[in-house]
Amino acid sequence: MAKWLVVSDVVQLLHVPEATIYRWIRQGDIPCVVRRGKHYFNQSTLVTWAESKHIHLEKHSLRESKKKQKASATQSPLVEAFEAGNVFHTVPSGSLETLFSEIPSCMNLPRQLKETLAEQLMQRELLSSTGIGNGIAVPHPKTPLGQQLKKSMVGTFFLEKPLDFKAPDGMPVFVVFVLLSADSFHHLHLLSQLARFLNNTEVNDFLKHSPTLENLVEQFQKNLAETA
Amino acid sequence: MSNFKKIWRRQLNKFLSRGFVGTDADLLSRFQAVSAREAVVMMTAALGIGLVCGMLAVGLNWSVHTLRLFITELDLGWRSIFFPALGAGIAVFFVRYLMHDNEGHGVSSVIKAIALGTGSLRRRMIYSRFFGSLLTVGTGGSTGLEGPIVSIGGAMGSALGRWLDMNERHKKLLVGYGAAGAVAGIFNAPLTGLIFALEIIIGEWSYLTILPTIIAAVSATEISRWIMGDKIAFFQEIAGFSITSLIACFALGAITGVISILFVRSLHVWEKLFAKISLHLWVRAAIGGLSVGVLGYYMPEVLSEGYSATQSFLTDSIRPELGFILLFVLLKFLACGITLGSGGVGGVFAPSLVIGSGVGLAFGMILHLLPLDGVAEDAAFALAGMAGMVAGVMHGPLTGIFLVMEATRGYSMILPLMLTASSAMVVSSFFEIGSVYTQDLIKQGSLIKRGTDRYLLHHLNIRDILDKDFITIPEGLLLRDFIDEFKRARRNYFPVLDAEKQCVGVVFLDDIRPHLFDTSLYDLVTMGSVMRNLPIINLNEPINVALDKFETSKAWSLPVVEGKLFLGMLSKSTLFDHYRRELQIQAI
Repeated sequence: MAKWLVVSDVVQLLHVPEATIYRWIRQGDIPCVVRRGKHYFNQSTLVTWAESKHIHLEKHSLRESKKKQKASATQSPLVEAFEAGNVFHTVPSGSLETLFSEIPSCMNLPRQLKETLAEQLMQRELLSSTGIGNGIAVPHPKTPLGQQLKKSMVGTFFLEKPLDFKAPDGMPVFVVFVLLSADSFHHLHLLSQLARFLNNTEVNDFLKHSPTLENLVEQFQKNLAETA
Repeated sequence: MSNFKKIWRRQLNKFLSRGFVGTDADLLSRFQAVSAREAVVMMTAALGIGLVCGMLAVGLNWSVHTLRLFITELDLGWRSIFFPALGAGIAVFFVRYLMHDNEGHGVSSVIKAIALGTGSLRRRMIYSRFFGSLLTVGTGGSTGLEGPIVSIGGAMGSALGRWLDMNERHKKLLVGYGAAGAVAGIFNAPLTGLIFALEIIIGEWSYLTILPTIIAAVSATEISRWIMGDKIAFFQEIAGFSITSLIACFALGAITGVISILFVRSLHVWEKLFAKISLHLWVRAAIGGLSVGVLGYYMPEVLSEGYSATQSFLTDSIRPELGFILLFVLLKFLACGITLGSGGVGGVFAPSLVIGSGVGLAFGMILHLLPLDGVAEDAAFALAGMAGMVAGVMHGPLTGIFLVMEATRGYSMILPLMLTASSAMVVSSFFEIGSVYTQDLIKQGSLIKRGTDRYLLHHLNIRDILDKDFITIPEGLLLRDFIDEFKRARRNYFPVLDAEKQCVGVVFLDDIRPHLFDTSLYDLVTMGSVMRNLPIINLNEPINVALDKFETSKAWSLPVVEGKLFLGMLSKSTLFDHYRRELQIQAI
């Protein structure tokens, strides 16, 4: 079935102002049809036309990006990441190696990433400790994961027994937030939100009670509402 | 009627939008199918335009000759000097006051409509040019029918394009097909029509220009042959050419080149002279017509198109004396200048050919007086001279070559024609910026060809490509308060506005970066003191002026204002993006 695009779709695909599209239509530089006074573009014709002119089209179709925008408008990205990462209790924590090898098997990750994640987390840990004090650590890979991950996630792991992360305040770590971000922009954004959330005595007490995912999200949103 | 039009438009639209049965797997065939359908439509349209233009060309030619014959048969003696005045007067009155056609000599407006315009020519041009040139040339005005018929053909094409609600590119192509059909029809020479349209009118060689143009030219020629029989305004068969004559052709080319420059300039001189007469336009034309009539009384050959004179030059048995030919060239030169300068409706194609044949013949005759061996016959030089004049006046060497080739129905003249035409073109383009058709357009700056830098820039609208995702700051803002603004910013420049919201400068992050963390400066520095004064682009100025400001200031972004209102920043990288996109779109 032929798929028909309208002018606003083409504006997105080609990254040009609407006035330019209308000028191209008038000058006959872009293949289009007129039905009842409106302009329509056959998608496959447009794609091959763009190919013949070596024009790069934005692959994301309009509808998807709109959905994304709507979703992110209702929820904070950190909540989404929490939900994607899930919460795990009494995680074996004999040493850093045990913990890091346990993490990928818990989280819902692509297979390729599962194999390499422990190694990546360890490398980051060798650079400097990801412990941020008060018994909390935020391990993450050295570089953004990019294509390997569809969306960013934060996995929450409550440890079986506290583990020494060599944190600046020397306190042993009882909870670990594993931050896996798709790109550097998200990484910084999530990390700052997470740090602000955790840097709060009330939150710290709350965490000591090993909350479930629902409780965690609820607490975060409450916290967000208070600071806003 | 309007329903009928709608049905046609809808059918056309449907036809163009439907590819052949194609799945997503064979995407390329889909676009090709759409292009193929486009070609089918354009070829069909070209066929129709060719037939109509062929008929119009024949009709115009026939009417002019009938009127001319009627006037000569009246045999009124000295009183016949008033006929050109009468004809030109009525023609100009009709064209300027009744039809309000102020487009000037035909072909320029056609070229302009294709180059930068929208491909639209007014439909009334068909009537005004038809009857205008019929009256001017039919009564003896010394000019040609080719210019008017090209306008008529172009206007026909444009009218069809409008009727079918086609886009600009298609309309422009149809104008070109009309011009090809008109020239092919009036000369009974399909190749000439094709080459004229491609070389002088359209100026672009691609398969959508060439194939349908061939169809238009051939169909126009066929219909003209069907009505009038297979004849051509001048005809001569020529035997081979020797080396001596070939070398002589270079000289002939140079001579015709110089004469063509003089011819084109004389037209401007006459125009200026007649513009000084502060009378009605039609009175001016009548005065011009009267002068031509007086000239024609002494030498009737200079009147009208003058192809009969050319034919007599080419035919051995009725060839006139050398002195007569030189006088003829001089008088024709004057008569044509006066007719066109005074506002008569006509073109320069026929006069160029006639003068060229006279010059070439005189050249040949003089060569024969010299002690040289193996000089070709005189008629051959007359033909070469025609090609030279066409190349010099219209900057169309190919048109000249093919016209004469078709007139001689043979290949034997190809070498001398090429030599003459190219040397004439070289000489002429050495002194003139464009052809007789394009000079004025070039001076106005409106001859901008598709795909060139100027064309691309002309179509970029600064307003559409402004960056607006930046933060403006007031002149008196302190560095301390700037830090807050800076956190929200997405760009590394900050336009500074004064109290009246006018842009006075731009603060660049690079300039203040070293001091951003120097807290001792926070309450000392105002933004007005650290901004850079950049040249400001006005929205109304031409885009090349704006680009010059980028060149001189070496800035990456410049503020844009409309009047006094600050609109946004124009950045070089955005400009480049859009420029490239435009270039990609227009690449063939």
